[in-house]
Formats: sequence, structure tokens, C-alpha cells
Amino acid sequence: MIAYLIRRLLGAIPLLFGISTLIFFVVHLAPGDPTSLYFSEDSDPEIAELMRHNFGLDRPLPEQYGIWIFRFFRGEFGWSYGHHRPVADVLREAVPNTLLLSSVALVLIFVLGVATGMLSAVKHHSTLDKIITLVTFFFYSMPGFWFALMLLLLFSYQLGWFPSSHMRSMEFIYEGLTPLGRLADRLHHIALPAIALGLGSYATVARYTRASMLEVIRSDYVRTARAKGLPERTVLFRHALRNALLPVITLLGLHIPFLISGAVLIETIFGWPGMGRVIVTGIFQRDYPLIMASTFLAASMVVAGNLLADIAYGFVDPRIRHAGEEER
Amino acid sequence: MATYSPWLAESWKFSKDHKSLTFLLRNDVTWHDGVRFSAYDVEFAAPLYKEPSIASSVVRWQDHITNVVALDSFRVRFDFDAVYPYQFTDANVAKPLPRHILEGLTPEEIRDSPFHRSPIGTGPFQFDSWTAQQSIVLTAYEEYFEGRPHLDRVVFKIVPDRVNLLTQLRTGEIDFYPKLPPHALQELEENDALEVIEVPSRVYYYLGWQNDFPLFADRKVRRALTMAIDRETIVSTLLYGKGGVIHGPILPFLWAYTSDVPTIPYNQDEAKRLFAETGWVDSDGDGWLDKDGEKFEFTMKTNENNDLRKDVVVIVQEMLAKVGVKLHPETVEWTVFAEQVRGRQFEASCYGWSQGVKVDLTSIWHSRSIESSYNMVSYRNDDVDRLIDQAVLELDRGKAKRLWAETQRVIAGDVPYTFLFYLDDLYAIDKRFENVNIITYAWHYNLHQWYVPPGKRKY
Repeated sequence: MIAYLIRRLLGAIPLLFGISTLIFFVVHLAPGDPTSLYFSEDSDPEIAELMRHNFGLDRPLPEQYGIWIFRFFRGEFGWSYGHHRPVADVLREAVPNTLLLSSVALVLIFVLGVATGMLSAVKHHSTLDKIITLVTFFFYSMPGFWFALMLLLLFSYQLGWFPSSHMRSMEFIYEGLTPLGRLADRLHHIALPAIALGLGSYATVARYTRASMLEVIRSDYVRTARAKGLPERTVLFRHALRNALLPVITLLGLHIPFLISGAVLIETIFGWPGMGRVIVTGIFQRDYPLIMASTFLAASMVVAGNLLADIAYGFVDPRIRHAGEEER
Repeated sequence: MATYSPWLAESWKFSKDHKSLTFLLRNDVTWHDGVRFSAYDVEFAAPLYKEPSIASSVVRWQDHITNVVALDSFRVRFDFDAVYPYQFTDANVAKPLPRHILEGLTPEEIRDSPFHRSPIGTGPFQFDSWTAQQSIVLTAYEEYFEGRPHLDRVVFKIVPDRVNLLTQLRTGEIDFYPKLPPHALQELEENDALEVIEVPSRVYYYLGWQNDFPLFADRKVRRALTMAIDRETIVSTLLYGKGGVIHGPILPFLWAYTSDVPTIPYNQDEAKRLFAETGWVDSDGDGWLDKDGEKFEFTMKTNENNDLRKDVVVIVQEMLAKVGVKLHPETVEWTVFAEQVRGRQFEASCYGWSQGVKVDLTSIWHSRSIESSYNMVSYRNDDVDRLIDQAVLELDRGKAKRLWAETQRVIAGDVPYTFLFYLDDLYAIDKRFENVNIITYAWHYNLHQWYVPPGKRKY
């Protein structure tokens, strides 16, 4: 298992390097000018030239690539054109915020998704199942940004139950709160964006779990377990669920990159200071160093997510673990 | 020119030859860390604005300032190598920096210094905190030289979504919303807690015809196009009347403005007649003008992130279709748009300028700016070049005004742009604030005088 892991990790290096190189040339060759920030009557075009020189953009592309590689291997992400500070600082602030929001959303998605899916499968063809099916399809088919706006208008504007934006109350209020009050304040602020972010995927997970659970419940070994006289609880949780979770784990793996890359629409609507906004603004501003660093992070997360999913398979399904060992 | 009143400087005086300007500074001003503000801070900061590695946006404004020297703690002299009308303005854009903090650093180090994420100044409010993508907080500076401001704290809340911002305005989560979109006005009128203040902005929109593009080379054609566009309707529908039609390149609130320019009234029949005069008629009856077998059609570019401009292009497309002119709209992402427009790679464009504090038409209308600056429609007129060159050096305000008026007349007559409208800025503010005085250049200029009476205080 460990050798397998090492092999996978080593294999990821050229992959990530290749992705980064490709992205480097794509973003630099794409039309658009990072100094267009300085396109204004008040600012002489010469200033844009000076900035281009200061950023090193007047050098030949291969040279810029060489400089980038050199710095990259020394662990330097460079200087953000748009934020006027090190890219590492920008990411250091945005990544934890995104991580917080998306992990809360991820828990909502998978815990609630699996629970509803199971409930729906166990009570197959009941009224409850039909209601769940209806509701999950409704959530599934709804565009996330629209749902976010509806949440905002209903719960913030009409009812006034939740704050409209930000991670917490303004500093001068927040700092006067007790530790418990601060936790409550943060939960109060994260509720709407987390729900808005998670709902679509929650519905997907619920549907997947239901389908896969139904298949497993009908299989021979579950019937055998029931025939042995095992309590229904043990049958469902020990025998059925474990196998039914396989496709859900694939989904989970696919969701790992989203932990870091953030969701630009939800972040924008709820004023959440995360990676989605950083990346998208970076792209619109042609903030090359920032784009490079954040796409590298995102690519690493994709690789990591796949790896984690593969490992998780092994835990749930001994057949896969065996296959891995035999390969070795 | 805006008029200047004493603030950090008590008084000032030009030398006899008008080539040096000496400021006498107040002696009771302190930086927010308590250190006394002096002429050495001015002397220290001034050269940094000329540094290419810093690339300050006012670097060109420093061209004629040769030397800045502190004569003693409270007197500082600016030396110029030329005499021109905006000497005083140029001396004022270089904001002083705290020498005691940044001294000994190279310009690059100063440029990249963390100081800029937690700066200090001499104003009524001091920097408190900056949470990226969330908020910037300023607090009252107790020792402010004109007395502590009334407000304890000013929070700039960063809310990227407009629907959310409007929601917060209605729920009272925010008290002030600068640059309100006009479509929100009607709804807010019913809100008793809010007041909306309207101020003309520095921004005007125009349609730029690429004068080098054969289709638009003839002034008559550009005139006919302008005549076919109903600008009053654009202002009343898209801006809900919050703005006004313009006819020339200088905005009404500037001292050099003249209303005495050739105007082009909306008249589609007259437009058709003008097109016919230049040979453009609908000879095959397909609804579109043609000449020598070519249809009158072109592409108009604008930038993706501006909804108002996209709407303008669509309305203009419809209006031009009525006179048989086919406009193909093309929206381009901002950075690409800037690059293409700067490179004059467009047939027609819809864009806007924000007019600066200095009246200077060089960068947009002088023919030498075709290559080097913002004359992107390739407008060439020797008279305009000559008038501009004279006007920028004219010290006599009356004479300068006449020169600029003549420049505006010639440009308006040549129709290199179709000047569309200027915009009003709308500021929504909670009614509990008093003493709010918003002007075109800065909504915050008297922020230290804003006041909430004790009974109405919220925080």
C-alpha cells in the first residue's frame, strides 16, 4: 500500500509540472493585457509600459518561463499584479476561508445526502420516498446562483434571520463577543452560503445513494443476512451501506478539489472572501502569477482527490485493496 | 480649475519668475503615530513619484518639477523648469509620506513595503484594519489638527454582489451606498430611512468611430450616424434621466466648458438625406444602405463587464437599423478590449472617459496621441493640435478659456466621436447622517464633518 502511494505521488510530479507549463503558455499567449488596469485618461500609457517592464512582461516568453520555473522550484509564487503583494499572502488568506465554507458544505452534502438517500431507499415506493425524490430533483435542477439569491431575499431581506454577507460581524462588534458568541456569530454567517453551496450536490449524493442502496438491498448477500435473522439495523449499516457507498466515494473524491478552488458565484453573492473570487478576478485582470499559483493548487487538489478516493475504495472494498497488492 | 484652500499648508507663494513655489506648512500636524509632520516628509516623498520602478500614476505630472527641497521644518519649495497653468496642481498630487518610517529603503522596497497594507497619514481618520475581500476599517484620529471627527469609525464593507448590496441597504446593514445603479431608485423612493443624493460625475460615454476606417473617414457620414441616434431617449430610458446629453469633449462642470458648440439634433430623415449625399442609399430595397454593391455595416466593440455600455450598443443598433445601417455588436472581455482599443483594432467602439482634474485635451485629441496615447479613433486636425498646444501653456485663465472653447467647437464639428451623455452619480445614505456634503470629485471630502445626532445613533 505504501509503495503504491509513493508510486502515485511520484507519478503526480511530472503531471503537475506538465499542467503548470501548459497553463503558463496558455495564459501568457491568450489575448489580454495585465496592465489594462492602467487604461484611463488620468494615467499616461507610458505608465502601463513602466509597469510591464517592472513585472518583467517585456522580456521574451521563454525567458519569462525560465524565470517562473526557477522561482517556482524555490517555492516562490511571485508577486500579484492586482493585489500588489506576494501571491503567497493572498492565497494564505483566501484558502482557509474557502476551506471552511466548502468543508461545512461538504459535510452537509455527504452526511445529509447519504442519510436521505438511505431513508429513501429503505422506504422504497412509500410517500416519504416520493416526497424526497421530488424535493431532491427540485434542488438538483435549480441553478445554484438563483437559489442563493432566493435564500438571500427570503432569509436576509424579508425575514431578516440571517446576515446578508461576510464571514462574521464587523470587527468592532465581533471583538466584543464571548467565545461562544463568536462561534454562534460565525455559524450564523456561514449558514446561508453553505446551504446554497451544498444543495445541488446534496441532491446528487442523495440520488446516487438511493440508487446504489436499492441495488445492494436486492442482492443475494443482503437477503442471506436477513435470512440469518440479523437485525435490520445491522443488515443495513454493516452489510448494505458499505457496498452502497462505493459510487458515493467516487463523488467525494471528485469534490476534494472544490474544497480549495471555491465557488465564485456563491462567494460573490454572499461576500465570502474565498478562492473563487481570487481566481476569477485574477483571470479577468490577467494576474499571471496569481493564476499560475492558484491553478497549480487546484491541479494538486484534483490529483490528491483522486488519490484519496482510491485509498478510500480500499478501505470499503477489500477487492480493490487486493488488486492493488497483486499489482505490486 | 478647482480652487484650493489651505489644509496641510497654511499659505503658499510663487517666486517672481513663477518657477518656484514655496509652501508654508502648519506646525501642529502629527502623523497617526504621533510623530510631527514636517516639510522633510514632503521633500522625502516627492522624488518617489518620479521613480520608474514605482510607476506612480501621476509620474507625468512630475515632469516639470526639477527639485523639491525643505527650507526648514515647515517650509518646502518646489522648483519647476517651465511655467504653465497647472504647476500648483502638479505640486499637490505628490502626497507626503512618513519619512521616519520609510527612510533608508530603496524605491523598490518602498513600493513593495507592507506599509501600504497598514498606512498612516495625517487626516481625520486613521487606518485600523484591512481584511482582504471583507472590510477596511478607519477610526477617528483624536489628535486631528482640525479637531476630532464626529464619527468614531468608518467601515468600508466589501460586498461584490449588487443584489446583496441593495439588500443590505434596505435592511440597514449598510448606511451608505455610493454609485447606486439608477434602476434601484424607484424602489428606494419608498424607503423612508434613506436619502439619495445626486451629483454629476466626471464620466462621459461616447461612440468612437475609427476615423482611419474607410466607412467612417467622411465627416458627413459620422454626422449622419450621430443624427440617427436619439440620445435623449438613451438618457431617459437607460439612465432613468440621471445624466445629460453632451455635445463636446469637456464636461459642463469644468471651468473650460462651453455650451457654444455645433450640436447635432436627432433627426432620422435628415440623417438619411446626409447618407444619400455621400452616396449611401438603399438601391436594392433590402432595407440596408449600400454603395458600389457594399452594404453599410460595421462592428461596434465594447467591454463585457459594463452592462450600461452593452445596453447602449443594443439601443444604438436598433436606432441605426431604422436608417438602414447595420451594426454588429461585439462585447469583449475587459483586458482584451483595452488591448485592442489601444491598438486601434476596431471599427467602432462604445466606451467612456472619466475626466481628470486638469483640463487637457492632449491625450485624447492631439494627433501625436494617436501613436502614444488615447487618441484611439485616429483623429487628426492641425487646428486642434495648434489650439491644444497653445491652451496648455496659456497662463491667463480668460485666454485659455477662449482657446479651449474654440478647440471644443472644432472637435464637435468634426464628429470624431458621437458624444453620448455624462452620468450622474447617485449616493444613497441613511437619513440619520447630517452635514453630508458630496461633490463631484470626492464623496468623502467632508467625511470628518458628517454627524449623527445623539438620539439617532445606532452603533
